[in-house]
Amino acid sequence: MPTKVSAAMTEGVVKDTDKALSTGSSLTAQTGKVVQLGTNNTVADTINPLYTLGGVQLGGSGAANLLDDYEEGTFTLVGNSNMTINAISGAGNYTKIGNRVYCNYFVRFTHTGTDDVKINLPFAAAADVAGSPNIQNESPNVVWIPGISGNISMAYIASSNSHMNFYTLTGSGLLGNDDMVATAEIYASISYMTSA
Amino acid sequence: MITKELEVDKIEVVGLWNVQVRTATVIKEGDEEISRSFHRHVLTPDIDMSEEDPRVVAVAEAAWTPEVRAAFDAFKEAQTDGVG
Repeated sequence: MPTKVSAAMTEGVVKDTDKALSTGSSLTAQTGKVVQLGTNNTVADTINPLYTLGGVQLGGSGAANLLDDYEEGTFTLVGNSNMTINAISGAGNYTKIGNRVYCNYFVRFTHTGTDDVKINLPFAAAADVAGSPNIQNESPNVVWIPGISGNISMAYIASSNSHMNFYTLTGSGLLGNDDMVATAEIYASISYMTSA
Repeated sequence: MITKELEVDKIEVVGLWNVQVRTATVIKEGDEEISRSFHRHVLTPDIDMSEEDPRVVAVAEAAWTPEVRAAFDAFKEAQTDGVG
């Protein structure tokens, strides 16, 4: 005789024998089992994260379906050797989802010389794919740079590089320190591909 | 007692010359870790290493052989003011 369940119940019922075991059982033996996160209904258990070292495959079983990395953090804003980064803009933020990195930062700096303006990245950009299909992994991103012509620039991340450079929309060549106002600022929200 | 520790918890050599470093800021109450946040930077052979963690320096110096440094210099030269 099965146990009757209240009509007010809003969650499913799982037999103890259908629960996957956390230890002591092979993966094959647990196929089709139900995974229960946490051991009771305390607050601490309901907020425990699911941790998988190998990642999780979504929508398929191929390598292209594997989400194996997610990370949030900050990264050091470093320019060329003639850029002095203002303390107010000591770090940028990043979120890495799989092989895609999203960053946003504000950087203020003074400068000398004519070096190409550059800002370092939290992860190196992916290298080009050699041979067929010969995919170029360069990433252009629009950024706001007050004081230059039009106040907008194309940030350019070349494959395998660990920094970004900047192009004006109308001129040719990279933006140099001498193209910037005395106390320069860059506002960026960018994305690019990484191989890490 | 609440403590704060900085820990270089990941050092990766990516491609030939990029050395990616992750530094964790770990907040503990006694022995229990209550917070961990990450900060990253990437090193290339032309960067000043004087303030890097000794383990990072060791990994970088191992990765940056004369051949790798030469390849990096050639890569930089090829990129000068160019796209692609």
